[in-house]
Amino acid sequence: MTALLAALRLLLVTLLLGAAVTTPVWAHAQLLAASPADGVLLAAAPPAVELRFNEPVAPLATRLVAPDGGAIDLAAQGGTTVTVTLPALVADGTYVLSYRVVSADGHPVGGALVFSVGTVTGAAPAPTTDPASLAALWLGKAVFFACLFFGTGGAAFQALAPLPPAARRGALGLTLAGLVVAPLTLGLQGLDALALPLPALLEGDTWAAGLATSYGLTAGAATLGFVVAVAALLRRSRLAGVLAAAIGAVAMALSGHAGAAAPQALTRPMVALHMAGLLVWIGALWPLAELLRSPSEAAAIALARFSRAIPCAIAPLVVSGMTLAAIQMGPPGPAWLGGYGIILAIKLGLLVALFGLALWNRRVLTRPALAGDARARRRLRRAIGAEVTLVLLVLALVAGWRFTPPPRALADVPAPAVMAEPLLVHMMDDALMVMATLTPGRAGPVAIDLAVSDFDGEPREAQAVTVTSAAPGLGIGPIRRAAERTADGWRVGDLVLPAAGPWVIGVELRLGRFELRKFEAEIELP
Amino acid sequence: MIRVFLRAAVAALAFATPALAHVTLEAPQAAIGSTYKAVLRVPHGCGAAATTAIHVQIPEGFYNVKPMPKAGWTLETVTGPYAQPYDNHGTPLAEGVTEIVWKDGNLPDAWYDEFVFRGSFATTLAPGPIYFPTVQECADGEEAWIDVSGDAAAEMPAPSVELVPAPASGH
Repeated sequence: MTALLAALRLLLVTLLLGAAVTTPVWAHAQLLAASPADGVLLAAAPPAVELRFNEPVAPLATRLVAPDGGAIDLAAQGGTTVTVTLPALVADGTYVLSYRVVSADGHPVGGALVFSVGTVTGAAPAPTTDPASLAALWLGKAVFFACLFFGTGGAAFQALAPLPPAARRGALGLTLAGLVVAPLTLGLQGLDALALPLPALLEGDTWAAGLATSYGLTAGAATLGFVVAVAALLRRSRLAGVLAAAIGAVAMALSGHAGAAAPQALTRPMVALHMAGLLVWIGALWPLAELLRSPSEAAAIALARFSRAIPCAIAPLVVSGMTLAAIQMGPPGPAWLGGYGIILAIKLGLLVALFGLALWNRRVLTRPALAGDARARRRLRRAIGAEVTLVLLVLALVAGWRFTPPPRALADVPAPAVMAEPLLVHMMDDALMVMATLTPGRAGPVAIDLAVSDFDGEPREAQAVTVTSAAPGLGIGPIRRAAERTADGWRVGDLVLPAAGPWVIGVELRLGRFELRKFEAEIELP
Repeated sequence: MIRVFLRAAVAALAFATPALAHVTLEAPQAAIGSTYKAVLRVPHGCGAAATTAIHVQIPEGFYNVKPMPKAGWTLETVTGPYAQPYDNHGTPLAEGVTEIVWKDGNLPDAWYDEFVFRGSFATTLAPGPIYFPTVQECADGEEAWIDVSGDAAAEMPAPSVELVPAPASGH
């Protein structure tokens, strides 16, 4: 029986390590495709820009930077595909459409699309979030997590045993701090959403933007949870403590990436369960450390109850963590080795230490401490203190993980297509032949090599060669490029054919001052 | 949604094309066998650069060509034999101007000017467009209005005149 329990415990720890891959703050919608494609040169200004994401998003800010550097803010419609209606673009040149959208997880994603009309000119860089704003957001969230797990979690501990006075005062202080910090993170979220510097925190729009994201729900519900927790702590109500923790757990499930992953009917309850487990566990650390200061009947009862109750908190934590991890990570692949993987490794390292400590507490120290061994009790207190430190480190890490997309989201981004076979296009008129070779023969960046000859196969000299590419069915083009002379013909190297489908490739040969010959061929671009 | 977007894109392309300012001839139509005063309109330079020379190629069948001199410009012509002699009020003409050049001038991009020549359309010509390929030279390049494909979407079409049958009353 004991051996079986030990094996189960080992399994539990292993599973917990797996659960560590899931946190609700791993974020981001991913841009899958844009129309017009990034970097494309268009003959005429497009009436609108479409951005396709892997999940529904709401636009926060869309700004068009014109070739002369002037910027205008545009309206956009959200959904899986964001449509930005463009004004009439009178000036030729390179435009930058910079956008900020927020996905169901509440985390903003920014990016910029560069396209040129008629001719390519220099393009202004798109704005990024001020590092000070990001640092403030990170700090705000880390403090918010600490207030939630130690404060509200502390209130929930009342369900197990009465709180020792110091722990009660501490939990009360943290929940009161949470009442300030939770709304404050809303403004920080707004800064992040709109890519604004820190002073913009004083502006109403910033807060409105933060409230408009799904994080607005989280901040609102968490604030409510803090109010209930304060009441629970003041009135020593066990029921209110549990209610506060439940509200806090649900609040965390309302935004964040894990809860936004499909199927949401599964992921949102799982996140809530995960958070509830954490609230029970982390919330108990400080009260236990206080109780263990001196031997008492109350301390022994509380420790025994915690020891019995904790598996009931850890089990849902593990199950929900495993489920969410499986969804978030996606199938194994190169995406596992990105920045996400590095951060994950750090968190796993911290958790190995944390759970090793917890298991040592439970297996070695709890029984003698309950039996009244003063040395074991001191050690247990120190171990719990170390646990608190590790938990704080993990929370700090977690608060900083808004910046790495999970492999699940990356998996939807199309990988660079494999090199395709070159596409050969033959064109002729009554005297000349043009052989065009598209390398690679697929949509994307291509090079076109041209050989011009007469019907006897003799190369024919030309003053200049221009290549046009158009896909009228797709509303693209014509994209004009002057070819450069090579050793055995002409070449256009800097071409992007942004979409697969029917294309019309045109070649214009300038043979003399007044002589221009035009060739055209239709191709099906894979 | 995407279909609507594509339609809108195509419509926008269609509207955008005719807005380009080309080098054109003022009178778009002429009768076969008539004399024609060609007024070549130059609305802009090569990009922002000033126009310094205009070369016009005279098509076969437009004979007895006389360019109008222009103050500030050096006028030159290139002459050569016609493919067939044309009747000039009873006198057969076997050769004449095949290219006109106004050069050493300066027409800033912000200004507009016209270059004039006259001649006759031979009675042997067929109805339809006849092209006057024109090259606009600037200090740092050129704009070649020499596309005679008749393609409505041509980037730089050659100036042209639509020839129509002579009126029945004749002259």
